[in-house]
Amino acid sequence: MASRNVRFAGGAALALIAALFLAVNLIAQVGFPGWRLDLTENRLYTLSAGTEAILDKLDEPVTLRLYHSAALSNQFPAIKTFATRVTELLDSFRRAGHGNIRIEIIDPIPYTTAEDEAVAAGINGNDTPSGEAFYFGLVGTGPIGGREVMPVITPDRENFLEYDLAKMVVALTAEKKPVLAVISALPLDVGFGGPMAALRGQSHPFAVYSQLADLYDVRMMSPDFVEIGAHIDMLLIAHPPKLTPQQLYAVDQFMMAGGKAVVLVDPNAEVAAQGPPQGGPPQMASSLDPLLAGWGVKIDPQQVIGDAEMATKVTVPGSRRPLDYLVWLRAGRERMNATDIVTASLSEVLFATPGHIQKLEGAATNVEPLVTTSVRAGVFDPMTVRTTGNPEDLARLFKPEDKSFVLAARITGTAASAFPEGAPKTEGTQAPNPTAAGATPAFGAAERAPLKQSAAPINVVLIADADVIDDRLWVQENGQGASRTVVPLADNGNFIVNAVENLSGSGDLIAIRGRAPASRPFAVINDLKRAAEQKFMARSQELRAKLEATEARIAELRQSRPTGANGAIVSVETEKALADARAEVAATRRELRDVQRNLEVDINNLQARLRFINIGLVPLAVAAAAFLLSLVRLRRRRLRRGVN
Amino acid sequence: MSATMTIARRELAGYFATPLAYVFIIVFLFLTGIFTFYVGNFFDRGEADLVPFFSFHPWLYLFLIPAIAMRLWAEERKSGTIELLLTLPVPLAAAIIGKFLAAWAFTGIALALTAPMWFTVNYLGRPDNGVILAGYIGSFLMAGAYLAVGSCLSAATRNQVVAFVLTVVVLFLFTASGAPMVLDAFSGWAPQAIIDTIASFSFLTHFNGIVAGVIEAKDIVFFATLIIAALGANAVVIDMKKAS
Repeated sequence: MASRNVRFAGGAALALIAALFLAVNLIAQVGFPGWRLDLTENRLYTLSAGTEAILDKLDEPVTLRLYHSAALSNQFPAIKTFATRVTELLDSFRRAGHGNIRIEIIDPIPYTTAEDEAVAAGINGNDTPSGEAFYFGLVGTGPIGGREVMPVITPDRENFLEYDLAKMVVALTAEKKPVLAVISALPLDVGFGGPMAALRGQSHPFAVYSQLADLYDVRMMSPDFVEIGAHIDMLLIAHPPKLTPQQLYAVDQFMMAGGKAVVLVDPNAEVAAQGPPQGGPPQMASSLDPLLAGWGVKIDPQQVIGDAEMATKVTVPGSRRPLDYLVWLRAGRERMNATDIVTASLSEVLFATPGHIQKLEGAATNVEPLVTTSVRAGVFDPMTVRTTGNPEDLARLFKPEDKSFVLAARITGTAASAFPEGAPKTEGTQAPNPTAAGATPAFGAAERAPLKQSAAPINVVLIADADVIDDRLWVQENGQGASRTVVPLADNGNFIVNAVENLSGSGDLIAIRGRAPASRPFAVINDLKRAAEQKFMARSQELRAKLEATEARIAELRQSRPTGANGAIVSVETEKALADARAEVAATRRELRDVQRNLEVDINNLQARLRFINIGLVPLAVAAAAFLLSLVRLRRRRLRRGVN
Repeated sequence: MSATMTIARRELAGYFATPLAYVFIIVFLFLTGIFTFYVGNFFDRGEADLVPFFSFHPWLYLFLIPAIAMRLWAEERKSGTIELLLTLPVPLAAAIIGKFLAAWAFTGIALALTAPMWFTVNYLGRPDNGVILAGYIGSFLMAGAYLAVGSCLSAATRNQVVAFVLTVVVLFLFTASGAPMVLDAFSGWAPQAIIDTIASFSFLTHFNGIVAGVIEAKDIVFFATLIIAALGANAVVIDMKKAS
């Protein structure tokens, strides 16, 4: 009887414990979701100061409506975990928004009005294996009727989600977007397929352009522009076509009035060669002379930079291992200016055949480098780079100069006009449009008095490479049509957008971007690889030279060998020399093969050592310690027995 | 408190008196190494982090921890020493907590001996050490929760093998409850809230969050309450067995 009572009481106690455990955890799930300790180096899971500043400034409500097919997400555990992160992030936004951010989470269950609503709002459904549509997208509505849609939220953009959301909030609350005028020989707005292909969805704007268009009122300047409107806030000059004197004058006057510009000029723009040939060869080089001279800098059109330390690995046909391509430069954090807001938060930017920026002597402007090369850099002739396809050939021609070059810089201060004599003489057809009565005259217009010196300090971010803007260098595309998403692989887009944004004066968004976790490569292994390759290159060049010399000697001996029956006796020495030379060729070839085979031997050795230490050595040490300890114990026991 | 610590110290010393403890540590270190380097492709990934190292911990613990936990009480019951223990002037709670803390400290030692992994990634590159620290904290907490469950189930039987099997099964349910095949069994009839609740009781859900570098209140609460609840149940089970 007593035992039955105990069993009953015990069962009740166990049930109570289980119920309490469940209850506490259920409360913890919903009760304090905000409490967290973020141990990551870049505080990846904490709202950044930029987001908080944006949300602090809100004075009108913004509604963020998340459409998430929660019931269907059981089929995708990874998406389910990601969805939790997204809702938590939204919740952080709500809390930081002091009542001005409203979050609604809707499950668009198939065949309900909620699903119709999601579709009408522009959310893209993806078919699940069970045939139903899975929705995971976000619609934001602002106080002045603005609407922004994220048709799909994908886990690979998780690191940029905070930025995307903050950008959405900024876009929803901005009364008027700043106007950014673009001067470029590249079809940034429609892609290389042209406007018709873009309409059919077969061609896409450059990713940077799309990013900028989200934030600014972007206007492509027509190729025959003669003035820059007074309403333009900033300029983006990316690989400009050859500008007429009148066009240069308009840009010059825009800058002299305290203009802000992001300028990309390139002695060798690979991006330009992508489009279909349209009557003539593509424009490979661009320059902005003489404006740059007025700003106190110069980019030599005859010099392309190579860097042994920043070189990108490429695979070329016929070579089994990736080779260092000296003129494609990978600029990591250590090559960026950490104190300038434009580059401080960037992890990696890829440049392709860039030029370099030199400060002119006696320039009054302040030139602050933003990205520099390592000291193992040197220059190439752009023609050589264009004609030499093989990275190994470039490596042979390379002469490092033991100094670093400036790839991008910020130019501020007082600049001189490139047109001290006033507006250039124009031909009849090129005359600026007359300014309407009462309107502010455009820059470059005859009605505006020419400025010979900058009236307010200029602010320019100058990049000596146009290829940074090329999608192929930094973007991975997923999907097609409406479900197409782009995932950045490097910070090229951030670099340009940061620069534009900084000039437009909204620094808050910069503080958010670039929070992507930096790739953390095995530096030691990469160094070993680089060293091994250098050793290989040097030795293989040596051996090849030796091989060629010996082969030449063989050819020579063959020629000198007398022909005919009478020559047999004379040629004994020659024959021996020939045999020696042949043996030398074989030996050299063998050594060359060995050098190739041993290329990664150091890396393999290091990996084997580390593997042994971690898998074998520590367990062995523990086993040895156990053995020693048992010996000591045994001895002690024997001693004790002896004493007794 | 002092009684708890005395028991914990004696128990921990007891572990190292037998070769079993060393065998456990060696197997644990060897397996983590093998999984990290060969199954997790540590070098091929080329990333200076310990993701391939930590991602196998829930599954390694699934078999290794029950091996430690099975003898906690089952052995005492089989050999009859439990009666002796319970007649000592120490409260039952002290004995339970002391034994648990000793076993937890022992797994902590095994975990600490994987430090060469940490040195290795720091030698090879520049890892995010905050994330690695979080991973170790998460792994240690998870080991504690596994142990507490194992301790409770060890008290329910006098057969160590039965205790081992029972613990593996229960822990497997706790670990896998976030996996899709488990949730699918419910999705046909249970409301979403219940399914989410089931998923939130998975070790994996909480451990993965911590390993990413964020220690959240709900994860700490989950592991802490599971340890407390399992040890509480442990006491109830011992009381029930004592009476029967």
